[in-house]
Amino acid sequence: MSTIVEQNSFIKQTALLVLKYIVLKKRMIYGGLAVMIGFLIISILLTKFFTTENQIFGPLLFSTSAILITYGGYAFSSTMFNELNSSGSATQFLTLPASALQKLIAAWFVSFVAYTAVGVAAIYILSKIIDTNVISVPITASLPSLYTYIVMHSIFLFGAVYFKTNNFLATVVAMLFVFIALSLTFLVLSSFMLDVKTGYFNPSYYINETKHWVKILITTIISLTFLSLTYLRLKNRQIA
Amino acid sequence: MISFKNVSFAYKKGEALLSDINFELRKGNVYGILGLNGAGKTTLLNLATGMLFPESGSCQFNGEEVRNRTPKILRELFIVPEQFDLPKLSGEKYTKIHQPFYPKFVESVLHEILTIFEVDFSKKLSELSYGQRKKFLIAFSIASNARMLFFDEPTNGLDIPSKSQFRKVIASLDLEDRSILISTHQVRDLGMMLDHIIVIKEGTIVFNQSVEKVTQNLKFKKIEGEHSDEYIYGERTLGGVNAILPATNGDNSELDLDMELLFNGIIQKTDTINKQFGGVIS
Repeated sequence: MSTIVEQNSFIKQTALLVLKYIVLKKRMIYGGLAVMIGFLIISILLTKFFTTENQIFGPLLFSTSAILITYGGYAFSSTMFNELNSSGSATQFLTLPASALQKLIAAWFVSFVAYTAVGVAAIYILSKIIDTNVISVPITASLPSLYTYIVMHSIFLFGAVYFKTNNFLATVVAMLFVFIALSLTFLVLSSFMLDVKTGYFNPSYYINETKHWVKILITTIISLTFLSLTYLRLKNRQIA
Repeated sequence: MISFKNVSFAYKKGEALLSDINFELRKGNVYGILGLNGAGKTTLLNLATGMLFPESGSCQFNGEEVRNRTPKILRELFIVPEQFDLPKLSGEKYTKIHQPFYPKFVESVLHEILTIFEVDFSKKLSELSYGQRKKFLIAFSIASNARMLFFDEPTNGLDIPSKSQFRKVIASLDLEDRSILISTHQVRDLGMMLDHIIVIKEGTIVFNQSVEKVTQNLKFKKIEGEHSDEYIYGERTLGGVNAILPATNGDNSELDLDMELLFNGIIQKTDTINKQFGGVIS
């Protein structure tokens, strides 16, 4: 009985935190929605006037908006723990009666689940407006896959709690360094991983050849690792 | 309720700010932590609320480590820092989203205190002055019914009427099951509210006594002329010296407990003052 009460309390408190994050980020959310609506209006106008003459507009607008939503999501995730960046507001965050796990789950829900739902809805509306089948747009290939999106989100959420200032840029720079280091490692390993068809090192060959369940497994492991690191950092974060 | 056991803390390795701190805060008291600027008062409050972790030793609330920051502990501790930012929300909205985290929160108490403080609840917190915002947070902390309240320099930034309102509010609180810890270097503002005095000097607690014991053991008197051999500590004033003397049986203080004089005496003549309490710090 007490376990059920505790679980209810846990869920209720997490929901309250979700509400708190949304209220505190109201201005940012309104700003994002305004940009999105503005973009939709521009899209409507552009497609109305140019579609018949230039068919490239539809897919171009669609892919641009999708890229904006994706990277906007990463930037939004980077701001989830902004309260910790100043000693004046960190007190409020650290002493708020909720566990580090609840604070993390709420931040993840707002920045990933809620944001993605709104983003997908916006893309759907846009695709209806410009009358483009989402799947048929070739430029979507340049967008990160769902797996990449999940992993990147967890990395930016970690950056939100790890860095103490300019969290988005700091995370991008850190990722760049890691990417360079990994590239160098791959270069060294390339002699062992030659593409059997071409004889050259081709990472995309290995990525494309990877089975679906392996991709899911890798995505889950990497994102859970970063979420766990975020939790530990949040739990041990001190005011300084 | 709160106990510090052999707590040491350093911001930089090898440069201890606090060392071997031991004390206990029990319910029903208004504690005053006094110390010079940079003595470590704010750090002590941050350790007590789990915002900083001790380098060694432990800080516990009812036997549980504060650094765990569990909701159970956090809803019983509320700190009003000296410097703080509040979100760009109205007092009403702020209360609506934060109140549910404190199950014992009493909204009528919040309204009552805000009326005394003359703070407009419906205004955006970011539009209020620093002093108004501080009064809002103090009112919220009291209404949260947390068992341990921490106020860091609460009268800094408050005007003279607000300081008086603050003293009245604190004096009117029912402290049967809760306590308040006030950190300040402005002893003149808050001295009369305290019923227990803790003094920090150079990272250690050098004095920890109840006001009752202080008045039992020390006498505050204005001495005409200069008879330095009569008193433990004295400060020259017009026509004589305001002095701290050892109290003898049935000898009431001529002056009320002068907190500023006591504080200066403790800082200047730590050992001599403590000797009046049998050489025991607490």
